Amino acid sequence: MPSPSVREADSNFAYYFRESLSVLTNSFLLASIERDRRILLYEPPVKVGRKNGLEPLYLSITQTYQVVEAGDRAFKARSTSYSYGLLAKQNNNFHELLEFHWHPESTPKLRWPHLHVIANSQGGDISRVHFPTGRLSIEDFIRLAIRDFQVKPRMAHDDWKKILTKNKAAFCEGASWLYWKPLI
Amino acid sequence: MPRGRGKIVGIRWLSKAGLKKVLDSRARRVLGVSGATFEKNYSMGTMGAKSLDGKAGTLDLATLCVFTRGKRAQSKRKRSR
Repeated sequence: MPSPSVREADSNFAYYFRESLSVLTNSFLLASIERDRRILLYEPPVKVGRKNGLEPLYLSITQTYQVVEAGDRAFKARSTSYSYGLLAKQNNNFHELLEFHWHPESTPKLRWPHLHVIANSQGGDISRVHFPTGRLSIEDFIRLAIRDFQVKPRMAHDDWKKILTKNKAAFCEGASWLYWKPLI
Repeated sequence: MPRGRGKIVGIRWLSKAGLKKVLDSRARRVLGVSGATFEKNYSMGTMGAKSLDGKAGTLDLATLCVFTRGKRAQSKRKRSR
């Protein structure tokens, strides 16, 4: 959604991101800025509890974005890369379970969003296979963690569902693209 | 990681020095090398795109380098001839 100033566009983007993450954690996000580029991240990965006595998991989040002009005296935040991962911890070491990536500038020959599943199969290690995906929002990732990995939300079902639904709708409305068309 | 008391996740702003500490912490965790070593290898182009995306967590290090070294960090990578 366009904003009247760079500052407001930046603040809006960060607010949506922070509000969605609040469904799972209240740990501070780290932020930095380099010229017109901004980054939000967790380091080290942040612990999240799970239901039914399951071992906790850890969130690894890195999001970069820029604020760009979106018409006459209007500005909007534009994502430039993301990396959302779920990790387990064993013997004080983190082990990735899955990672959703989109990093077109770091890997010019691999510009589409993709998923890494850190696993072995009958056919061998598939950890570095790049499974193509659509563009993933942080809300999709959080819902996956809750629904399929039994991560425990910090709030009542109605509250977190309302936040994720509202913010996903805003993401879809403001996104300049959702599917990576030139895959080949 | 300290926890905020509010309903919404808070933000802690990092200076370039703070971000270098984050890079160092992540490089040691992911690759077992210091942040300075990773930065050096990355800027010399000894880490190609394939090796960057070849181990979980490595790509984030490259992303962080853009912020610790400035905007030209990526373009200093060696080109094949």
